Amino acid sequence: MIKLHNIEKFYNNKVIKTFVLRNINLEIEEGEFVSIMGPSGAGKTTLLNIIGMLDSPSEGGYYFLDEPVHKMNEKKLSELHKTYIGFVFQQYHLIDELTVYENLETPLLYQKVKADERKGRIAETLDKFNIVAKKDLFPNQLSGGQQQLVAIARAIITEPRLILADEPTGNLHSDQGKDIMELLKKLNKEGTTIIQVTHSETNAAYGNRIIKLKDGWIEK
Amino acid sequence: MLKNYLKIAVRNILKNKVNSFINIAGLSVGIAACVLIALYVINEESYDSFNKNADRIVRATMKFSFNGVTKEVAITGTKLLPAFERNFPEVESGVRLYDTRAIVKYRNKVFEEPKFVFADSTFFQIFSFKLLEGDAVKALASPQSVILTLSAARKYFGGEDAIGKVIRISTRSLTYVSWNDYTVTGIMQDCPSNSQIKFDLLASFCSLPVAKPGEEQWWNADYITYLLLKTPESINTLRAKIPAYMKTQDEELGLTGNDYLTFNLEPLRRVHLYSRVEGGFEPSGDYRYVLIFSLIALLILGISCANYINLTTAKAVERAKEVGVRKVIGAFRLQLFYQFIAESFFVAAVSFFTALMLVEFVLPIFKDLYGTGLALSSLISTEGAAVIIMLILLIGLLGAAYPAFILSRFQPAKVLKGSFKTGQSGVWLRKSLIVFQFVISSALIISTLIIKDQLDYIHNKKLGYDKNNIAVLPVDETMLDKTGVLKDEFLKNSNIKGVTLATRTPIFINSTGNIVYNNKKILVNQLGVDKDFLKTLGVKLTAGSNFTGADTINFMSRTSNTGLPIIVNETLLRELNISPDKAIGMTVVYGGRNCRIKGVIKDFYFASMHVRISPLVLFPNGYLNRMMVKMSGSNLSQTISYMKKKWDALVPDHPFNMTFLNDDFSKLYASEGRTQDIFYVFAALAVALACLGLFGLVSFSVQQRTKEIGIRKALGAGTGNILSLLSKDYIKLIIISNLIACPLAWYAASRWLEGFAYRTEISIWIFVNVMIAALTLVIIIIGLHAIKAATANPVKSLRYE
Repeated sequence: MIKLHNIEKFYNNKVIKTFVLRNINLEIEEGEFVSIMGPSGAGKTTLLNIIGMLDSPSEGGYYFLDEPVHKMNEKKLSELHKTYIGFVFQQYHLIDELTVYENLETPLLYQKVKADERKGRIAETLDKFNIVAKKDLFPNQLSGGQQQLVAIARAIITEPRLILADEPTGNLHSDQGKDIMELLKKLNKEGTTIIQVTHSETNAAYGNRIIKLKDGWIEK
Repeated sequence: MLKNYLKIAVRNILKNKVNSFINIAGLSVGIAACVLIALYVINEESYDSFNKNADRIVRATMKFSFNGVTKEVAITGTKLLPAFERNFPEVESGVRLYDTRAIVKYRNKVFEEPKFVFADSTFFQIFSFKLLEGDAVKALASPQSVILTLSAARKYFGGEDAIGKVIRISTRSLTYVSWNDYTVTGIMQDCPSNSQIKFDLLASFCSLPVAKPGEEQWWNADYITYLLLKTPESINTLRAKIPAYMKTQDEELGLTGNDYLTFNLEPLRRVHLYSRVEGGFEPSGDYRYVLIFSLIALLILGISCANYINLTTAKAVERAKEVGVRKVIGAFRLQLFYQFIAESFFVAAVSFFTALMLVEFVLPIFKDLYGTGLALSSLISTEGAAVIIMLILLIGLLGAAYPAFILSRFQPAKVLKGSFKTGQSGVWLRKSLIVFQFVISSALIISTLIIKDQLDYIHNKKLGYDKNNIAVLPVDETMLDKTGVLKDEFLKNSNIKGVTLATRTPIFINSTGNIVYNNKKILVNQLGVDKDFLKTLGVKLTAGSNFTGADTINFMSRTSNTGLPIIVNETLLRELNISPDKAIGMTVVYGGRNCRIKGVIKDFYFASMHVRISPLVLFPNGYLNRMMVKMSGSNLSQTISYMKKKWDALVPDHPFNMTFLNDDFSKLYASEGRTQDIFYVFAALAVALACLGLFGLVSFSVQQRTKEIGIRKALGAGTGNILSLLSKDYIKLIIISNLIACPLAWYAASRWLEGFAYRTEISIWIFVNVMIAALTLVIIIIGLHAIKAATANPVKSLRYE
């Protein structure tokens, strides 16, 4: 599904070149549950953003479903990104001005899903995540765990084939964290590819592969 | 999708109350100013357009040159219309109007009617005034017929049927005195406020002795002539033919040498805004004011849009997260762009409807300021709706394009990390817009102050006569025998210091004659006065002596053709190159008669200060139209009621229509006064809007710099340091703005002042004071925020981060 070939990421300051990622070669098959680990500043989030097409590599090739992402224009990228990829963040990143229902609806609007189908899919998702009662609340009326639940619901409502999670439990109690990880594992069993960034060995254990990063390099 | 956008828009407006208030209030006020000006412009542009034949009607103006002095007036003799109808196939028809005043009596009701017009019977075929009762063709066909407007009819007849009733009318024509019976032959709707022809009563032209066919005259210009042409284009061919035709009339006109008389034509719809020719129905509007006010309205709108742009871009950082999230969950950049545009349209539309309510609310005040004729309903038309939609689109785009561009550009990978700050984006634009706002505000204030200076200058200028505490009473020939008794009765009151009669008041003298001396002929203004004129009005005699009662009798009897006494002003002597000491006793030919200069007076202003003082002759006439009463100033109301009692007893036929000379003088500058008022309003608006925007921006930047201020305080900075830290940049901008505004305002004001022959000096202090005032205002606005920020506990503000 994902092929990274000699990926480099660096920032040019006036005097020095700061490397964030060095010579990353990586292949991830469809259906995998991969955990990226490493100390702060190792480049985990940058790697995730590059895979998620929110950031672009400075050098190297990135093939998504055998298509060369590094050669695409912005529009094509957006198209690919919104059809195949769902995002989950440590800070949830719900839209504060919209209710739970409207937050779930927004990605469907961007995909121009018809009104009836939209209603059906939202109802189904609310049901599946057991948050029907919360549909008219605003994000700041929910606990952290509930917000993250909504965020995941929003990520999967467009039925992406890949979910990218950046420390999804970083802001949660361990109990809530456990629930979220169970949920991700369930989604993976149903066929969704998942890549998560995490600090915690426990969380990493939910996955079937661990990639360790240090100073931008993949540790063998 | 649109629903989603609107939801976000509404929730954002409710969330940021202060910000939304500044945005919507600012935009509403800006739009309201625009709408008001638009109503005014629509009214000015719509003048006379209600006439179906408007494009074929032209007004004839008389242009003549006499001894090298060329003049153009909007009045003509009676002959123009019949002669043109006989000689020019381009002319289909025409109408002569005589604009005068009259006293009208019905049973026990007596009113002076200042808007009394005589018109040819073709009036209703040419103009589209609405006749409600009566026959449009016949109503003005026979002598002694009169048509009343609805309000005039109500005044005289109440609810009674007016047609066929007989009213008594005395007109104020020099050649036509005494009361006559007129039959009411029609009732018409009141004249539209956007008509150059306005009247309350319309009488048949054939009632006038001058209208008899044998009486046709080129000279004796007292009548306003409108021609109806066969086609709109024939104005040019006709215009070209007139001079040659008029040359053939030279013998009848008695013209020799380079003297000439000819006519020009003005399309009806251009008269109100573009004609500079005097003598027509009402003082016309001026397209330059229409342009200036339109420009000011757009600038005010610009200021409020600038506020919107500034606040939205400054606050962009608060929307950054939303933009990032939306991009992550699949929004295209263009979709986000649309979202912000839609939000902006929403704000624009809300502001627009708030503005309309505001306009409805202030319209009565504006009406007082600008006369009648303005109504919101004039926006209800296809053009009106188009203008409204255009305006919403324009504001929406202006306000949203830049913020939408900036916001939709955000990179989600950056903004979602939370370390993102956009304080710097658009700083340059924000600064330019602040400069723009304060340039406009300062320039408007400077202009307003200069206008005020000039009007103060006019009002405080020594006119050469005393205009205070002088009552003016219209007098006519039918009461000439009573004026002597009236004068004596008035003078019995100890609060009345003097009474004089003259052909008109000294405020505006435009009657002209000519003087010949030493083969040199000059055009002079003339005023008929009695012997008490100089004393009552305090006009200074510099040489010779005043008129006596005997002078008046001599002048009137016309028995002698030599040695008739006249008094002249110093300018006249200068033009004739006579020194004042030699002038007394000298003989000059005035109006074809040999006259003796009996006295010389110091120059006084008898026209508006737009023009220089010209030569003036006072002559001892007996037919006088204005009585002027000098009062002491104490017990004014008792003195006036004393006068009214005496007046009503002696001349019960004439209404007691008293005015003050001072008020009549102010009317001379009514249009300048209105300009001043309008400038006051708009200058105040511009300043208020600019300050509102600055307030919003400063509050935002203080919020953004809370941490910095906290650190500085922790390091020992005092309130003064914080104030100077926050205000430094803004003060620079204000100084730059004023440096740009000063030359702009100076140039505009100088151009305006050039229109006055007598004008004030532009004081450098106006510029300095405006700059100081602007700086003070800005420091106060920033100070309000700075003190709050500076006195806050630094520990608290640092903990937030």
